[in-house]
Amino acid sequence: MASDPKIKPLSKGEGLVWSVIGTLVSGPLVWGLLGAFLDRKFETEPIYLVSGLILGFVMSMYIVYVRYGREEIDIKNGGQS
Amino acid sequence: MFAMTRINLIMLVMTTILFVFFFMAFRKPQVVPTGIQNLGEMFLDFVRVHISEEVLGHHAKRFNLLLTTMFFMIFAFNITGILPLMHIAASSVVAVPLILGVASYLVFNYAGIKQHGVKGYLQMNLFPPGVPIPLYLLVTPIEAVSTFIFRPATLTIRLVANMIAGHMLLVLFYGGANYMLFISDSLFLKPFGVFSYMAGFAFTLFEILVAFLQAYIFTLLTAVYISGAVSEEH
Amino acid sequence: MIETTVLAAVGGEDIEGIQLLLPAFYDLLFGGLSFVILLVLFWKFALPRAQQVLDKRTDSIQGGIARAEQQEQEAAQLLSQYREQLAGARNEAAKIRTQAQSERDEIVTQAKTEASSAAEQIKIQATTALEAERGRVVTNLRKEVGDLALALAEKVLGESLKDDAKAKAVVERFIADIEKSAGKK
Repeated sequence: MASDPKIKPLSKGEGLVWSVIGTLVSGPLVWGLLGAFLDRKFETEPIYLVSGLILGFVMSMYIVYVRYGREEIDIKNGGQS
Repeated sequence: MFAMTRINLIMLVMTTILFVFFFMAFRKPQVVPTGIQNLGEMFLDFVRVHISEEVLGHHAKRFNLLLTTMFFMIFAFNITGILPLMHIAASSVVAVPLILGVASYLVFNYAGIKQHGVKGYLQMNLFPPGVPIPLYLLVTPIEAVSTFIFRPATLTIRLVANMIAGHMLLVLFYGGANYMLFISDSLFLKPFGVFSYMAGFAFTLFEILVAFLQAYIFTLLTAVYISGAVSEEH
Repeated sequence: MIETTVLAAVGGEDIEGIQLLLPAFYDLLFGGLSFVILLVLFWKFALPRAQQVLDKRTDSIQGGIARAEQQEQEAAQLLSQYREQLAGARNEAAKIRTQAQSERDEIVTQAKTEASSAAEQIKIQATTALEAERGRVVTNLRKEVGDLALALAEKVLGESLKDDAKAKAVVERFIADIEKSAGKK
């Protein structure tokens, strides 16, 4: 995407924002749901749910860093994305 | 036989209006446009230049049809929320955003698969590069959900929620104004009724903006998703 | 509280909670129908025609530029043509002048030649005529002088010179002597 000079920062940024939000919500959602399911099965509420939410959130942050964060750092350090 | 609701009727009316408008605009297209053709071209150019070409660059031609259809259908269906006699957005039933969300979903996945092949496309979306292999077990489900479920779901829900919320606000203020001004006997409530009416009017203006903005965001995000799917990088 | 407001908002139909997110069949039907109609409208009608107009406009602008360029070229060509013609006309005039000059010279020369040759001719004729006249005069004179000499000699000698032939020879010799002495003088 970055290689196409026709894409202006505004719309690219807007897309980026929604992608980041999507990722940040998806992580806790996926692992939180799994946790809730396990809690119900083993009657351990809310241990798995909470761990799932935390794990999901951490992984979401990690994905955001991997997908978008490193590019930013590259831009700052080397100028190529 | 037809269990047609008021909203269904509004859908057909708006579709007809769009049809007639664009038919009149381009019935006898002139090189030097006049009146309605000018307007029609301005509308089409807006989507082509500010959404398709801005986001998709040289891919714009292939997807402009879908984006154009989306934008005008959503806007026409949104704006009925403030039109007299209708007073409800045709897009405030989930079916409309759902159809468009599914269309968006099908197209951006199709575009991505066509560009990168099934394997390449899945790899691009589900396996971000530079992650230690065991972590993929945790990362990939999140990526799958965020790309293949969250995107169409948010497209759909954002639009329908906005339209319902807008309708609720208008009903609240106009309904309140109506009650306080004409039904209630309490004189004390009358000034609040006037205020409520004015707020309703302000929100009506605001809803025009929202109708446009939601159509723009839906279409723009579809374009961004397509752009992400066909991009050479990642 | 929100849910109940939603219910009121949607128009009192029996829709609850999650059902708000489940599409009704007829909404899908009419929504889908609308989408397809609009898709076809833009696909087969509006977008191609708008594109056509756009292309034509681009064409006409480019055509206008090309036409202007062509006209400019033509004008330049015309100008150079005029210049050429003007130069040609000047050349022509100069040539004509030169030619006229030379023709005039020729005519003058010819006239001179003709005049001088005519004069020559006249002179020759005159000379010839003069020559002939002189010859005749000389002959006549010689004869007369001869006769006179004879008559004189007859009278001097007292006798007639009977023999004409002999007398003639004597006269001839006499005249020749005179001529010789005249030539020496």
